[in-house]
Amino acid sequence: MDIAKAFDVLSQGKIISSNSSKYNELANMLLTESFFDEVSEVLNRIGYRLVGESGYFYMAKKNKLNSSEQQSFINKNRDLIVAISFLRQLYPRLDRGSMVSYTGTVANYLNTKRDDSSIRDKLVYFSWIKDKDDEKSMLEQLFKHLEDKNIIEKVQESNTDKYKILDAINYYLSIVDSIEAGEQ
Amino acid sequence: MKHLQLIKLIYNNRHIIDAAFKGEEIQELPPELVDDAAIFQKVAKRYELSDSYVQFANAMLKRVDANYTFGDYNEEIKLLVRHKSDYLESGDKNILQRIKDLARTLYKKIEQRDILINARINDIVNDNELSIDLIIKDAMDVDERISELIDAHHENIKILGSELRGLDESLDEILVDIGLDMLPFTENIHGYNKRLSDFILRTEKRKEQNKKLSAISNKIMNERDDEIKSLLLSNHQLYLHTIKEVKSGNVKHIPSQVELKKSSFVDLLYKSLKLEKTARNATVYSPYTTSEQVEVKAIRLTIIQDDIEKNRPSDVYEYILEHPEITKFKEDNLDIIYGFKAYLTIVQNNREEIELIDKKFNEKNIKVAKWI
Repeated sequence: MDIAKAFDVLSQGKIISSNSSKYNELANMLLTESFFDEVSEVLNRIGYRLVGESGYFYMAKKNKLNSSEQQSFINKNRDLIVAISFLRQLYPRLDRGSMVSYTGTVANYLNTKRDDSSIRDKLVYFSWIKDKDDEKSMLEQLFKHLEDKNIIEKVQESNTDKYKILDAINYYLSIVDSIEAGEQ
Repeated sequence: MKHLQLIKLIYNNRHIIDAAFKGEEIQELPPELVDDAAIFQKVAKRYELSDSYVQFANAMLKRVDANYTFGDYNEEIKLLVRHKSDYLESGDKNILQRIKDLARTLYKKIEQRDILINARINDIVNDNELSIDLIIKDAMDVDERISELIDAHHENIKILGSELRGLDESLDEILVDIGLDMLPFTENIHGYNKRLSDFILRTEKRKEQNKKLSAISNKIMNERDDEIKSLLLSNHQLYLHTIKEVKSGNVKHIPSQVELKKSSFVDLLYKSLKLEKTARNATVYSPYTTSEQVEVKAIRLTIIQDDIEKNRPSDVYEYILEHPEITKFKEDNLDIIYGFKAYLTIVQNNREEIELIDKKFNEKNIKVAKWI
């Protein structure tokens, strides 16, 4: 793993979680101060910043974002933010490092729906949902979306039920928090 | 002018002095560099660093002036030749002694010179602090000087090796010894010449490369980097730390926490996304539900039995259908079924009290049973 490979991954706008098995090698390298500094210096020269927060790393712009950049980030991450907010409604104490299972989530969803039927509207909201009648398949797609965005990860490749919540979720949870705080 | 002022003057004009030291032409000068302290002198409308300053600088920088180091010993040789003719004329032994002493001294000087040239070349080759132009200039000076010395050296050897021969046996002996000892110096001086020429060639190549590098760096600084970019991209896996161009052509990044916390961003988020605040407390769900209260209805057969015994109806079935224990099922439309069940049970249990009238059926097509 060298700087070029690190740049390859970081420049895709990915958040590298230190508890991810997929990016285990890169995360470990970034946890080394000398490598972190080296990558930082390179990014610094081309106008970016390497950010290391509680357990995850990502690449940010050195300068301030303008409003169109802010809007484009929101547009691109809209589904993900809503998905995480949805997941938190099912698991109010959602946090990095914990485990969620697909079957447990389905049960949890059905229970929640009994008290609050509006949760179904939130599930139907996502643009990638095709069959809007099959709730189980909708939740399956939700899990796939979260997995694609490196928020959750299968505990074992063969086990399609149990997932680990990656550190990167905290980045989005803070966004969800600030929207909820804005509402108040 | 005080010494401290001199140092200050040199410091204030360090760039001009350094440029002149490197051999650049100086057209205009602050007058104090000529008048107050003779650092520069005017030579034919041009300013040059004064010899005393150059000597001072060289001495401080431990660079020894080429002329000073490498004497060609022409004077000594001339003196030897004159002594020879004097001796031939006068046959004075003292002159012969002088010739011997002078030949020895000359040998010592040549030996010393060899050491100095070697040291000087080592200095030049190993000195990395000076600018590349200055190194080349020094090396060329020394090289030129050595080329001259090669001629002078051959002349010296010719005088010492052949012209002084035959004057005296003891002198001849000395001259033969000196001649043998001088052989390695002859080799050395040619070696130095070759070493320096190689060094100059290499350094000039380096200078050329430096020029190219600085040209490239200028291009990059001025963002005229298409050429180098396409070169680097053409084979990115070969060039370390070369970044592969992403297909979409741009680098993606995400906002930092500082950006996320900005009120402009939060406003935008809030406008674009409506999220309801979710309860932080986990709701406890029970899998059981309370079912509605169900009224359990049953026929109390004993009451019907008692009433029948009291009233002795002529048609038990008709009587049972009108009995409150059965009519309560009317709302569920179950009265006829339960009525029939009750009729059968009572007839079965009280065969002796009941007379079943043959071939007589009532309106409901039920056999008429009469309580006796």
